[in-house]
Amino acid sequence: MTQIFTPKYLEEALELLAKKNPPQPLAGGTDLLVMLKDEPERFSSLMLLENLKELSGIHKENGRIRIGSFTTHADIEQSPVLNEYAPVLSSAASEIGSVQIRNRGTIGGNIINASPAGDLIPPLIALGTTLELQSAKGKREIPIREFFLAPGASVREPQELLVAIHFAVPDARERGVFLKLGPRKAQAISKVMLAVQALVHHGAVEWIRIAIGAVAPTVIRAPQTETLLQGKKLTPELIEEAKETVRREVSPITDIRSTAEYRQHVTGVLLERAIKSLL
Amino acid sequence: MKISFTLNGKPISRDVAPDKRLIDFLREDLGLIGTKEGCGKGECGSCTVLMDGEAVCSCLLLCAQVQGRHITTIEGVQSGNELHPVQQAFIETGAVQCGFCTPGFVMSSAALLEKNPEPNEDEIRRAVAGNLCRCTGYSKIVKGIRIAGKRMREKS
Repeated sequence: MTQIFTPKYLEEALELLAKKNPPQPLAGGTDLLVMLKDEPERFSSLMLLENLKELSGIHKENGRIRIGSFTTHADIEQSPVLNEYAPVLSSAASEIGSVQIRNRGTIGGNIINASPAGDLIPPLIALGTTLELQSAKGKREIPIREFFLAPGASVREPQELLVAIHFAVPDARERGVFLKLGPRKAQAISKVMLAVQALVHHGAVEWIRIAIGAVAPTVIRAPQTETLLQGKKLTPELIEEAKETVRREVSPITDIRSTAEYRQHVTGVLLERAIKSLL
Repeated sequence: MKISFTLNGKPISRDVAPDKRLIDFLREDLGLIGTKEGCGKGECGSCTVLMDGEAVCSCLLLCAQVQGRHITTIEGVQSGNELHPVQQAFIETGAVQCGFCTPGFVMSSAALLEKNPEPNEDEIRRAVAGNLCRCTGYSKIVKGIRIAGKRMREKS
């Protein structure tokens, strides 16, 4: 039997995590409970995050947007603040799983799973997100780009809890777009997905951040493509060059969901669609 | 562990293993076998119940997670002897064939119509995208949901 802890306050949860053999934090459970069913021996103890009010809520304050780690995909999809300032994120949340999954799955779980196909990760990278991790010893903030090590692996220590996600409130002139390619609209794990956040002025790119999922061991940014586009007018020739560049920046594999060749090709196609939607 | 929550409008309090899944508690401990388990992985929606009015998969919930919540199952959607408008409409449109997915579809549809009594076809299809049907087909289900919504609007 799996032991279940149900802390009522963040402090209590952090104390539990500070112990030897700390429990596995359980957020919405849309992934973890599937794993528990398949391999019950893998988790000797779980810690529910349901009651920790400190982990909920979406707030815009002091020039930053703060999202509690236990915020569900449904809350992100429906958040007026995020729909206004970070549609790249709210639209990605709206395409995850199904109503049932979005009602339970959380942004924190999506990040901590560290899947290269985690749909919220590219938008968060494109937004320049910082993660707030807390343990009984204190807090630390880490840029999301430095968080992931490999599929399923991150720099989170077992005694740490992801408590919140922050990013600077995007300028009203910025545009963001998220594009996902899967076998069907709902319940699909992405073959490839791509998020772009950019400031385009009179058809020229002031700056652009491009993040791509399911094309490498972790979600990646495309720095060469970003540099290529920066400061230039978005002509058909430049877009064509960007497609070729981004295809060289990805290193996809062939698996049950798609082939390396297709993923590489379609990365360029998604980038083209994303860039054109910025104009 | 003592678990207390509201089930189909009535308070319930039971000793149960906290890591027992809600669907197993409903079916095995309480005999509420209207809720079905299909995939057990949150893919098919057969086990859909409402938690605080929102559609969720009961195969992806531990009993410890429903403490203090309001859970509604297919056994709790009718009022007295009157079927829920979605149930009635599904019968009339022939939206039920083998019936295995039906309780899940009814729960997802009921959650949708509670919030959006006049959904368009896209909204309906999006609301039940997490429910799989392998024999009836979706057209009659969508039609049933639209009819149920219309009746619910007329009634209120």
